Amino acid sequence: MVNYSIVAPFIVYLLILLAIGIIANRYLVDLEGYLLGGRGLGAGVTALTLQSTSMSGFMFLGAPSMAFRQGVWALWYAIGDFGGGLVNLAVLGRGLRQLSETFGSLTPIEYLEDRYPHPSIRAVGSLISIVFLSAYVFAQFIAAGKALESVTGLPYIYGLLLGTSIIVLYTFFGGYLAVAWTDTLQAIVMALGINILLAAVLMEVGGFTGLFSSIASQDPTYLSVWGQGFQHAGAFGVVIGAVLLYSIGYMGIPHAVVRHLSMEESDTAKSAIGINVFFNTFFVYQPYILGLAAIVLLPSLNDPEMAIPQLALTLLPTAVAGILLAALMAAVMSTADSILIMAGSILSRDIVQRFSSREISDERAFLYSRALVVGIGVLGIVVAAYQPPSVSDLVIFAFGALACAFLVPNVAGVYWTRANWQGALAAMIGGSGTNIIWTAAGLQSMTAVHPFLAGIVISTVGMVVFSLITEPPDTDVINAVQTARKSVDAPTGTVKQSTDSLAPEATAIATHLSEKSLADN
Amino acid sequence: MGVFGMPTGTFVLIFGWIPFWWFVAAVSVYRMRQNDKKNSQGDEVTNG
Repeated sequence: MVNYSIVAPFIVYLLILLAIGIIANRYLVDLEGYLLGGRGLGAGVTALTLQSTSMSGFMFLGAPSMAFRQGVWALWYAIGDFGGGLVNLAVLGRGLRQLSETFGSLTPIEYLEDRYPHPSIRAVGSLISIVFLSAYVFAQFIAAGKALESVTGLPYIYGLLLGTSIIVLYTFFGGYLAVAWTDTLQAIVMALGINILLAAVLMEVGGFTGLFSSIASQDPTYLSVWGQGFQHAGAFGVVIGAVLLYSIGYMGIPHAVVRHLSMEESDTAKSAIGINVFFNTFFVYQPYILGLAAIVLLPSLNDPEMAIPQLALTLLPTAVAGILLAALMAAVMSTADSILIMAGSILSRDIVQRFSSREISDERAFLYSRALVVGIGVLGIVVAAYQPPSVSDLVIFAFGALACAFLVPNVAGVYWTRANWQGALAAMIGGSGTNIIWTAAGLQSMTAVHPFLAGIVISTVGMVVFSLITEPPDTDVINAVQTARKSVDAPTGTVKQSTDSLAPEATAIATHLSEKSLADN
Repeated sequence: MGVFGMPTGTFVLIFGWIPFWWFVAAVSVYRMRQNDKKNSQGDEVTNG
């Protein structure tokens, strides 16, 4: 039975987002001006855009479900997530910006091939990116299907088809044009919605004291840092991996690296750090606490991933619940469209145009890019309909595999002159391969080591060993790294192009347009 | 003994990270400011 008092605000909110997008596009006069200059987006918009892209369906569905199942233990992930953006900015940001400026690279994969000059780096890097970015998007499709299921009352499969269609069509017809503007609104709505729900929940259970006391009366091990039933007792390797996953993992995530790098130096970056931790104070822990509250308020919840939608429908006025669920859908869309277009850009730019023996026109490359978007959509529906994995498992797996592949090459590229392409290739294959095997074979329970921690260790070992037993990189590369490290100037020139564009998709289009205008002239 | 009904050790271990990350953010911004100050002095010298 469709509840129109929830569906109506849900649809109205999505229409407002669309309207903002259209108005923003008209206001910005032309696409080229929008992408290549005159963006003038301040620290607030920049930081909130980063946040809403990072905070996907995982925060609304995955995080509370983990807390519902594991208790306080799940908050180890929140601890890392709180500082992830900050660590990325502080450790990698400036160095990677300067190095990519020196090389003139515009995308993370392009940077890797410039820093580690060998075709295999780009081929393997692109392949790993496309596969795991797709898995990341599948999780968003599942989240969208579940959100629509809870709003419309339709069966999951219809919700999934509808949600995936909305995301793919939104992406296909250029929803990215207004990403920066709609993401800002979405970040605010997400944070407001989640805190309004938390306030309603705390009033219902008698504050934090009532909440934790009620949980303890059900099962005190829910409040243990070792997990419900002490299932992770003494497993330091799992806890360290859980904290590191989101605290250092962002340094290996292509779309996060690009977004962090794309901030204007340096006042924007400084303000963005402040806004980042301020926003995280009001957003990162809250979904997990709502998952804990569901233990008390919704003890017979069949699907723990529905904790937030069910709490919203139970405790909030229907119109407010509708807006919160629309924010969930919008969060999913803002993440999914960026990743879909990033995957498409990687296919067109980093694979087809890079490796084709024939000259591939930009129009044809974009055709490939859009075909991949549709292909991922269709495959995502099949996977999500046939045997949907949980959003949290899929996000942790895909995020972990991407981070294990690229974190070490990215960081070593900036800080270790001796790092060469053989080491980077070993780090990428070893890191992501270990993460996959560890997860697939369930080695975490046997070894008490988190797949991410295992992947990062193997990736680091691979980088060090293979770099040292093979020839050092060319002097050109070593000089570039040393020059970039000594450079104190704010990035200009080539990086200006990529810093002006907030999103990876925008960078790809900017390049396309500048090449096109060169060709036209 | 506990905080909000949660064992004190657990509370500190989980929620103590919030002030920690604020501290890291403050240090990062401070260092960036110092860097910028140093760079701008360098520029002045360079630009004569």
